[in-house]
Amino acid sequence: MSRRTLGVGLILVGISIAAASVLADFVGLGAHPGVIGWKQILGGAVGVAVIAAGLVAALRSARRGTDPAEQAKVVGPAPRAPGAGITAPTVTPRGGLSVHTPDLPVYDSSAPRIPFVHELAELYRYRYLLWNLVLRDLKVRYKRSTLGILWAMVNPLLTMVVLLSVFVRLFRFNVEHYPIYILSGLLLWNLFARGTSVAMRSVLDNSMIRKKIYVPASTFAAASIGSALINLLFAILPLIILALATGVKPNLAWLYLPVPIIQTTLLAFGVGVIVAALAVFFADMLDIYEVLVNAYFYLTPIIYPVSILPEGLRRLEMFNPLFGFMDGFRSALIDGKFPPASDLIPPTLLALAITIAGWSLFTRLSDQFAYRA
Amino acid sequence: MPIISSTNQLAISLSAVSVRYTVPTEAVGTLKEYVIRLLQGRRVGFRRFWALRNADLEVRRGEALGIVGRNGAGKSTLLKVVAQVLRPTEGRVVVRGAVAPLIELGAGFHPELTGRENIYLNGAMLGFSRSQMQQKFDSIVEFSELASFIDAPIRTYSSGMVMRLGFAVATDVDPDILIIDEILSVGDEAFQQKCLARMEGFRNDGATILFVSHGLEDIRFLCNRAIWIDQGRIQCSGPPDEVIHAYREGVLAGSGEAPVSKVP
Repeated sequence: MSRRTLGVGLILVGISIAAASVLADFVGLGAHPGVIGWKQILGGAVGVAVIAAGLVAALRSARRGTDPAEQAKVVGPAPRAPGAGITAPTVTPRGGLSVHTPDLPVYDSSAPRIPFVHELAELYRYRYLLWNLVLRDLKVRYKRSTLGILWAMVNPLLTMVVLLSVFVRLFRFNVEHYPIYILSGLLLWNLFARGTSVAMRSVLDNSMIRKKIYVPASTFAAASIGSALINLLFAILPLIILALATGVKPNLAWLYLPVPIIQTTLLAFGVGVIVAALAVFFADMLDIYEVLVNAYFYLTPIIYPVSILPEGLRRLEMFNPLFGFMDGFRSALIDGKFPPASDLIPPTLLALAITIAGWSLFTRLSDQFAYRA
Repeated sequence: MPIISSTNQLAISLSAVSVRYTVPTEAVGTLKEYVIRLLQGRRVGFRRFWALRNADLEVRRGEALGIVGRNGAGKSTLLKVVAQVLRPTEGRVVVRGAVAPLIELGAGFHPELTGRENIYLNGAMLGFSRSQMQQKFDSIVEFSELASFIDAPIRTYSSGMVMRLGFAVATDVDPDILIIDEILSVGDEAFQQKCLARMEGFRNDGATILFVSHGLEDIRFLCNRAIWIDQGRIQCSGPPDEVIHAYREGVLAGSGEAPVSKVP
């Protein structure tokens, strides 16, 4: 218990440090407003480290004594009292005496717990299931098709060709490496849109299982995002090949490419758990979200350059984390530039805030899922 | 046999456990209707329905407890509360030991995946790791008698075969507590005998068993204690014979349906 408290405390301290250093300019602490200095970056890094330490401490404490897998190993070889016959069953305490009791996993419905932390620990404990569910999604989707998993690579390419042929002719946008521009936007978009749409249905779709056996609800939502991520990773290869083929020079900035992918995954997870929780309570969510996602697609510079937007809208894009991530991805891939920290941090913080809010909502409501769905 | 009745010997304890389902009396599943009602200041009509009311129950380690009652009496809700699927609305549930739920076999199977893939997936849902499943795999296949179909998609299986595989995965465990809900109708006669034998084996190894069945004979055979649940309340508890007798009497006295029973 004390370790858990310590963990949560550390997380809060870490968030404060990170937020204070990053937001220093806004509150007027910074020496050079508008420029993010090394002290701020250092502060941010320290904050993240403290958050990580807190998470580790909290997870450890939540995990202790609750892992049936580990317990099974301990209990398994323990000598068992033989049964007293078939027709006259008698009470034969398993494993003998109370010595073994501390080893047994204990479920106490009234045990004090912080849903936010508890569910994280449970998700970690069921990581093998998470991986299996991701595999299931991939296998099921591609199993019967001839091209199989190749579709994950071919599909975005074909979409890109369609969009390209329409938009190049219709609008004549002046974008350098336009195919790469579209394709990279599309890949991150698919990660977000498909991930969140599938995650939204995940709790509902798996309610039959969750009514029978205990599985942490977040596992299904996380698996949806996970399989969207795997799909993206498959599609990265054709993207790189196409980039090289169309004359983009490989460069060091490509090392940055995983960062926007991670950022987008985080955002998709945060939005995904929010809509998943809402969909349990309101069936309309399924349709509403479809419309919202469509609108979001056109509001985000995926197929068009941000420069065509009027001044007002362009300023609004600053608050669109997805565009922030795409922009970073594209400038690293196409222009070979590491994006400046000042462009990197605000959308990341926004995504982080959405994820924290979404996770709190989801874990607060997850006890009621079995009653509803 | 004397039993040290300390709390350590309790596998399951329910104290004043209640479960309340909230069933909307009108169909208000949509956000629009909800918002409209909220704006009108009208509360959505809900019927509160207690599936389990003030249930107190203690099950010692190694006990085999039979649960009888009519449909909708709260038997499955009781099992769900123990299996951690439902968190009780009120009261406290404490369960000591690894729970293996044999509630609905093959609930997590996916028709497109092969038997082999489903074994690993289902095992993961039950909380086992990859290496644990690799150790179990052969004995699961052997018990299910499906070795020659194991790499075919489940959708090509007959429903009996799916049940067999589900039973094999779910019972190839070393459970401290086994929860069984109406699954003895699995497969053909021979396989049923095999299932019953395996459950007997668990009982004789000292596992705690919760057994819901309308087959009163099965309860007599497997259990050393029984409870009767009606309308969410535990009506009585005791040796299976007495409880089954009370249950029959109760059902006959009430105007309710006759108990489904193999016994004439």
